[in-house]
Amino acid sequence: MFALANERLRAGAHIWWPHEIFLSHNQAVTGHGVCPAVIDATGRARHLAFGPFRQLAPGRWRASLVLRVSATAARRALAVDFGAPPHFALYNLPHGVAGLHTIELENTFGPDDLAQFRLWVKRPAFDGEIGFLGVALNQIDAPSSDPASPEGLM
Amino acid sequence: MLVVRDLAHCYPLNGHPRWLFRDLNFDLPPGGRIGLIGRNGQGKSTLIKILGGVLAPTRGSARWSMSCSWPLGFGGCQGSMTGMDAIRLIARLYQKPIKGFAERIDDFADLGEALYMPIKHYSSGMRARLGFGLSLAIDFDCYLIDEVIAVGDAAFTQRCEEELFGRRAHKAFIVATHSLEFLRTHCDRAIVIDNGQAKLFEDVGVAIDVYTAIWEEHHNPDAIWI
Repeated sequence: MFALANERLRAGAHIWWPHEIFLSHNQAVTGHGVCPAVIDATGRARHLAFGPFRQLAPGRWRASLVLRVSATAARRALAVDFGAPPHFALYNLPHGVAGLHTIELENTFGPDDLAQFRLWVKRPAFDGEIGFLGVALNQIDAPSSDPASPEGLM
Repeated sequence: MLVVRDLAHCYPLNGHPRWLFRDLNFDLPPGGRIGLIGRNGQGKSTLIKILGGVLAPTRGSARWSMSCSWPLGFGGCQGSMTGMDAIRLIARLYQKPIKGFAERIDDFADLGEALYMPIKHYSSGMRARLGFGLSLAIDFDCYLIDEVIAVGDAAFTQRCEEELFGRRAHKAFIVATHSLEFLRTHCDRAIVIDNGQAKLFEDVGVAIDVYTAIWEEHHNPDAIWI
């Protein structure tokens, strides 16, 4: 079940997407549950966290997050991306680097885009843990023609 | 039922403990079938021996409430014994009348005159046939198999499969194997052992994918980026 909610905000707005609003691959299969704060990468190549499929105010947004990558997870090919189909900004985590990774990704969203952040493991993994608390969003640029949100913008 | 809790095993290597696996937990019900896969030297045979009581674990427990075979493929017979000596020994241990018992084993092992030769002169295939025949002559609830089916010729492999997976289809087993096809065909769960860890996978297909990735990355470290 995907959470669909609008995040119509004025330029310069901040949003925090906690890990609980994301889905994980296994939860998508079983249809319930939340993405844990510590994700076990064991299993097939897949999205470890994805979602939340929310509308953002049109414009350019920056997603900032911190991942804690265990020594075993650092041996896996991990990536994060941010955007809406078909346009995603991608970041591949450096191979073999355990510890905290601070990541920033930017993308531009239209009025009908459902924004997603995704964390994925690109190959089947035997082990590895990734700490993921959530994603901070900042609107860094809004189109001048943006009708400043009919709802008065949050 | 087999109940494995917090099972771990290590041995000293250059003055430091080298863990083969830690914190392994799983249950095996009657009729359950678990495959063990992992690269050479990762601890598959050691785990089979621990489950069979041949080796003591460093910590943890494996508690059986059903009968289990000795590890097939484990060359446990003393080399100066003949094949027939081994048959007599097992017959006494399991209180079986020697007459029909020996005939059944010889029928399977097909050793002929070699049955009266010391086992140390047997080839690996002959040892496997004897060991497999001895195990099949006892009606165990669970069979522990360490790659024995891979030993010997195609006819022996086919016969093993018929005996174990045809006539004993209702029995439990734990088998260490390198054959992913075997795993896919005969097992309903799998344990992957690698780099000091053993993990149980409820989905054999996932275990095969994970093991394949381990194997590819070991043989080609750049595979992780392919």
